[in-house]
Amino acid sequence: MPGPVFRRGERVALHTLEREDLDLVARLRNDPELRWGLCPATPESDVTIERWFEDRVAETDASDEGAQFVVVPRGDPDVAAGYASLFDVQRPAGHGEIAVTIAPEHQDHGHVTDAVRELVAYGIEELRLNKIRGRALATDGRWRAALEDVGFRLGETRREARRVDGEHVDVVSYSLLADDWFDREDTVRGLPGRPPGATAAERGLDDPDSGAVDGGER
Amino acid sequence: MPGPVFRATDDRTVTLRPRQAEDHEFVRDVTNRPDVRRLLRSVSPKNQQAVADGYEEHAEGDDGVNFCICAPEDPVGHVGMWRIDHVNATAWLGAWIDPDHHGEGYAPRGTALAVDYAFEELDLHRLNTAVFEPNRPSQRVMEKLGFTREGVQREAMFIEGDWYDTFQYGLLRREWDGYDG
Repeated sequence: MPGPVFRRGERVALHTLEREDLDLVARLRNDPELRWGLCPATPESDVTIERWFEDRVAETDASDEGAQFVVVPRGDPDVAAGYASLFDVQRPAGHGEIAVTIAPEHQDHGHVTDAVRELVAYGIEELRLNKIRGRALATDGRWRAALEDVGFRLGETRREARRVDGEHVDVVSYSLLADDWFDREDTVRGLPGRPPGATAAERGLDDPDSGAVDGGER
Repeated sequence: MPGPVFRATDDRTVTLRPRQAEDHEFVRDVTNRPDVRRLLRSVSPKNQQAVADGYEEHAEGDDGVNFCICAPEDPVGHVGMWRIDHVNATAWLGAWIDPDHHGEGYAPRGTALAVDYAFEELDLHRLNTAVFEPNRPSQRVMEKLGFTREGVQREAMFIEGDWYDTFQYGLLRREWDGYDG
């Protein structure tokens, strides 16, 4: 049973990552088919995963803004389908990187794309990041398509940057800028139905002599 | 089970109990909710371990107190005071209620119990609180309790991609004559 919902997307929700979810994380990070993406090419033991949980998931120090989530399909709220991360947050430059790993039996393009969308919204709208970064193996068509569907643009190629299954493979980097995110038609700035800006009267700034300001006007 | 009763309303329907380990799961489940954390300005996911660690690190200090608001034994919210300063006799106060129990009067009644405690037992002179501009329900609660809106911090909060004001409220002991609701 996953932890509570932190962000709700259209098809998936991002939940807190609890200790009970570490078996899934360990499985995905060691999976022979999945582990090529971003993880080191070394086995990850329960000790490594526990350290990661203590340092990166359960930490309460706000100076490290990374966040780890379990991805749960909204139609199947008892299933932890994978996990999603925002990490390497740089300030004051204001950017951070994302990654999403979904278990093979739950892979569905819509789930990955929706998780990416929620991570981007979280980073840009909640943490005020200016740019979200993503990296992909040049050969990883599925992950690249998810990034592109959300609006990431292709950046530089790092030639033969990783060793994957007997071959050297290029790594491509992507990024999405906050301006482009807010320019999308379905992005709303501010709280739904609650545009920012107290009235002058609410702020106590109105000039009683002007007579121009009436409480409630915006 | 929540902790023992620390203060209760006269009719015993609302109680303050010490916030304790059994409450971590309740706190985790409510404070991660998008509708709650937006207005608490909590922008990081807090799993069970983080809630427990955060409580041990920060909440149990000498300058803070934390209560579970219960009705009368089921947890419905939380109220805390921090930065308790006995020289100037001030503290900061903040509360939240589980949205499943909104509109049932627990916010003003639970907060009033904490205000009673602050003035009658801690011998404070003044309480401070800050409410974000979109959080109208909390503003209504504070005003109902007699807090005065003393100032505004313009565009102090970045919420969902835009800037919002923060209102500052204060309540003096001589202005407090209890909450009758």
